[in-house]
Amino acid sequence: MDTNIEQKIDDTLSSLDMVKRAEISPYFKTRMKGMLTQIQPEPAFLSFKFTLAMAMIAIILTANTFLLYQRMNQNSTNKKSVHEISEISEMYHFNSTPVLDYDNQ
Amino acid sequence: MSDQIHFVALLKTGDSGAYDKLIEDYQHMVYNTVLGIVNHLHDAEDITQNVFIQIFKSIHDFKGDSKLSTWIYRIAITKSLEWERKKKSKRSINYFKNLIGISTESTELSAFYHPGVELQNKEMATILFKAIKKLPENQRLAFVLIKVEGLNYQEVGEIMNKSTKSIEGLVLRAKAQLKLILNDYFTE
Repeated sequence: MDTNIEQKIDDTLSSLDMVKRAEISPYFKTRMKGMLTQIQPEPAFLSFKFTLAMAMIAIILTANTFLLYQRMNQNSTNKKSVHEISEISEMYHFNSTPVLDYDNQ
Repeated sequence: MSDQIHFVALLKTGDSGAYDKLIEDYQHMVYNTVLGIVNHLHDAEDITQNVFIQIFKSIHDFKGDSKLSTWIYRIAITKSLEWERKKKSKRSINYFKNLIGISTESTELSAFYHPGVELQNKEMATILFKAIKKLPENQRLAFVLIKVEGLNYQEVGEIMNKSTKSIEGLVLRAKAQLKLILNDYFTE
């Protein structure tokens, strides 16, 4: 690399060595204060309310899912017991034609 | 740290005195950081305003896991990068408008003179800022925070969520890259 160019590169790279912090306009603070009075921050209780609402929704959904699951289980148990009853009734001929069938005599 | 907890608690209550102090203490820090990234005096002031509005709106989200200044630096960087992206897409639209002849707005970046640079270094610093713009984002942020804002590696690491070692690496790579960019510039 050309020493002249190398020197220029080094000088350019060190041109920010003594840089001072840039200062904003002295009117900025006044302007900013005026602006902030027009904007309302989100109050803490609102964000608390939001969290509470989310927690309630989660609880309701969980409870619903649990109840639905339980109901489905109950249905399958009912079906099972109906099936068992019909098996027993078939075994003991509960639903067979009565021995004394007066109508057909 | 307990001073910070007390101060943040005051900010969360919306105390106007606390906001006065916040602006007083951090306005130059935010402005200087933003200016180092966007390289535009007027826009840097607008972005600084947006940074304070953002602080005001989201102070309830500040958990105190980091220093308040670190959190403010992050907001300032995010807002500056957002502004750059918007500006870039606007420039691309203008470029196409110019191509089809429905606009004559300039798409060139104007030369930037940092007000904190000494007069004899002004020209060199302008060339350097132009070269910094060409660096990858992480290298650029690390370099600007160290060179322009005067932070140390550890502070930059906290802001960028990286280890001190990786910040050192980023700055080394940034310097090497800048040498190449400047070499091209001076040999043109």
